[in-house]
Amino acid sequence: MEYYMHDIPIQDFLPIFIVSAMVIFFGMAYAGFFTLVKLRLVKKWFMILAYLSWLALVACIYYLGVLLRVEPYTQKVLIGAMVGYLIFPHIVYFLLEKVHNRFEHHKMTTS
Amino acid sequence: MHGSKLYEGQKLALKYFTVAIVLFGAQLLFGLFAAIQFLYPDFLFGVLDFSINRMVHINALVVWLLYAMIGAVYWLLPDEAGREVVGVKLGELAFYVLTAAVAVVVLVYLFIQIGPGKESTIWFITEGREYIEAPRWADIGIVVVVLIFLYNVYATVMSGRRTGILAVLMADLIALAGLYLAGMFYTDNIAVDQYWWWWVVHLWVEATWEVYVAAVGGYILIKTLNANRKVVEMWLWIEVAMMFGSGILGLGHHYFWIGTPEYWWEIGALFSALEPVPLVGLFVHVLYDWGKERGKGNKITNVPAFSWLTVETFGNFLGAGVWGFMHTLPQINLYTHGTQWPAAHGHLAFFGAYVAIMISAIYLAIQGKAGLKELKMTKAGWWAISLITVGVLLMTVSLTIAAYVQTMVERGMHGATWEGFFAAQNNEWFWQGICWRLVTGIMVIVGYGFLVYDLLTCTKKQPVKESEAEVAAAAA
Amino acid sequence: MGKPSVWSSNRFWRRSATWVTGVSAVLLILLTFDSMSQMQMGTAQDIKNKVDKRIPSPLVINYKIDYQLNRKRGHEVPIIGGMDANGNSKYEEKEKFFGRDNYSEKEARELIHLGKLTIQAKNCMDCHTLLGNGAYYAPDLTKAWLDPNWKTLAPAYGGKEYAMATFLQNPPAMAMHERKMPNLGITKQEAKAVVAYLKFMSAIDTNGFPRNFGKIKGAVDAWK
Repeated sequence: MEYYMHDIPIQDFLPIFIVSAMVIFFGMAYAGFFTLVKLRLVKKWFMILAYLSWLALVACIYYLGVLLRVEPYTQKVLIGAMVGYLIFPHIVYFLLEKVHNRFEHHKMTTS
Repeated sequence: MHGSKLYEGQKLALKYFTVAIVLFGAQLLFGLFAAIQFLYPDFLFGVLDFSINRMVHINALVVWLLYAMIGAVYWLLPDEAGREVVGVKLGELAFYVLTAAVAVVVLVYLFIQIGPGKESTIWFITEGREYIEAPRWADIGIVVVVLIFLYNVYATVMSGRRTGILAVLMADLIALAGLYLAGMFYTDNIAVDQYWWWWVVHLWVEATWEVYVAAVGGYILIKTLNANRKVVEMWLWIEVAMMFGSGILGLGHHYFWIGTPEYWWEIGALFSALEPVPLVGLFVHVLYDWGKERGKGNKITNVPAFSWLTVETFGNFLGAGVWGFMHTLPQINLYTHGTQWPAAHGHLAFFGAYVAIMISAIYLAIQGKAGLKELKMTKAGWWAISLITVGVLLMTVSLTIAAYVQTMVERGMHGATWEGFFAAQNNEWFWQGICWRLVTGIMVIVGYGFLVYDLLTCTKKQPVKESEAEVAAAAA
Repeated sequence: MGKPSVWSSNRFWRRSATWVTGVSAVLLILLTFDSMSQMQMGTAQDIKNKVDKRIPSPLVINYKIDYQLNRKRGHEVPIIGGMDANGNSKYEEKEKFFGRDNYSEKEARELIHLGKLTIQAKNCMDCHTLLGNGAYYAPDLTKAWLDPNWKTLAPAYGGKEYAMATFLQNPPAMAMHERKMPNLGITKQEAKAVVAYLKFMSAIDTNGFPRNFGKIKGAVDAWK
């Protein structure tokens, strides 16, 4: 049977804390570069950095999963997190574009 | 701003803000005592024991944030609704009742401290439940005061303009107040006790308070940056969906080890992975707005308020996002639960998510009170924001080092026994982390001194041009 | 411009927010009903029928309590009254608690009640953690009853419950560390009740928290 909780050897604690922090940092780096390129505030090739950040994030999540010795359920959650990070900034940017185009360019002022 | 004429509701807001800032000072003072006791256990031993200092430290935090939150609502309510606050006299009465009650509770905390193991202690001295220690009589008093507050908000909005910001606030405040009731009962079953205790603590700070902050943050953006209201309000609803969508069931990550069924592991793991979602959303949004607003010539009309709002964005991301995710999955939480990890995370998250934005709201009110079109950052204001922000950040890093040592030594090597606990506490690295926590705490207190000074004087220290214009206007 | 997109419709998002919140809240309430039914405190009947409860009957103070690895669940679980071959509680082996092992359900409940009230009235949670929640100034009390430290002290006091009760009534006199516990004016009866509560709490099924309790250095992989 696959246990939910496995023992974590003490030498693994430090890498666990570091990679889990890096997950969020790389997630933000990806979202940041992505948004800046989309807004044309930085050169287009910065998009490469965005996706490299995302790849680094995937590596971190994978390594985190290995270190935590996660069972299949948490594996799925972590894979979901990888994919979620990939598409979520796209969704947010898409929504922001829609909203700003509607309310800012066609000044629909009310009351 | 509508000239220097204030609504009565806004004058009431200023009273709430004043008490909030005083209690903020109390929070820091008792935090300092507790931090010293970690290093010198005999300091104030038997006079003000650690438990008392720590209780006042966290209670003052919760109460001053609530004061500032009520204050901010009274500040924006008449402005948004376009009319005076209904029942403002009643609100004023409630303010004095609440303040008197808080004073009595604090005096009892400090001078009576604890009681015998009887129901009467729970009713009149302390409930002894972290964060909501306030005795039962005070609980009931708080409920009455909050009901008056809710009545004022609802009655004002019903007869005034119903903006999207107010709609979100109305719904959120009801939930916020209602949740308090979940913490108002006694049970012998400690697992059930903590189950409902988390309803209050988690559903406040990781759901309803977050949404409150989003609404007030929207208002501050409109005021300081002249952001488009339609955009702000629509985005607010998206944020509500993300925050409640991830935050409500995120409660699961507190139900791993308190006698609850195992399925909370799965729920907690899933929603812990989802909790960064609103943060990423907010981050992209802030970048987007910053990018779009650049070059539009929109002037920042209140630099301190806007700066604190920026601190809030990054503080929230670091405190809640990074420090949250570092110890939230059940596999690692088994080793971090009940160590300094939650302390490290809690300090930065409370500061980033709530303290910063409430200070921002207070600066907005200061500007409004003086009737200034623009509020620039003064030297003292700059020192305040730098010292407090850097201080809390470094404090979090110090606590994190201590937490890491505790996890390794106490949880990894020894198992959480008495011996394991003190093996970790006596570890040199742990001890150094705790030392630096004290140093950085003093840094924050100095910053607080600058903050109070700046709040009292910043409107008088604005560039000459504007004050001249004002004099001219007054003379005309 | 044609029909405005649904993605930029205030109404759409307001409704989405309402639905997401509503669905989450309903799910939480349903889960809470289920959790509450699993978290009811056990009864004398449960002990008699050897039914494991997450929060056992206060009558467990009459029994020997242990904390052992359960191979099936993959973590440590409380063992009440001895362990059978499958690693489950037998509810047989008794253990004297303040000289008795025949507390009635009523007596045990009264002790637990006074114990919990005292724990709240003395504000234990603002130094210690209980079930891992509280302050981080003093050791976790979740399994304090099973702490090897008390086992060492027990003989000198005629049993660990006596050692614990003596400590609680005047902690500075028995200080074991520079960071000592203050005298909280705990009476003899309150001390007995608090110890009863600690014994009861150590029998709560906490899904394996704390891990490796009482295992010594290097024991991390010991029970693979």
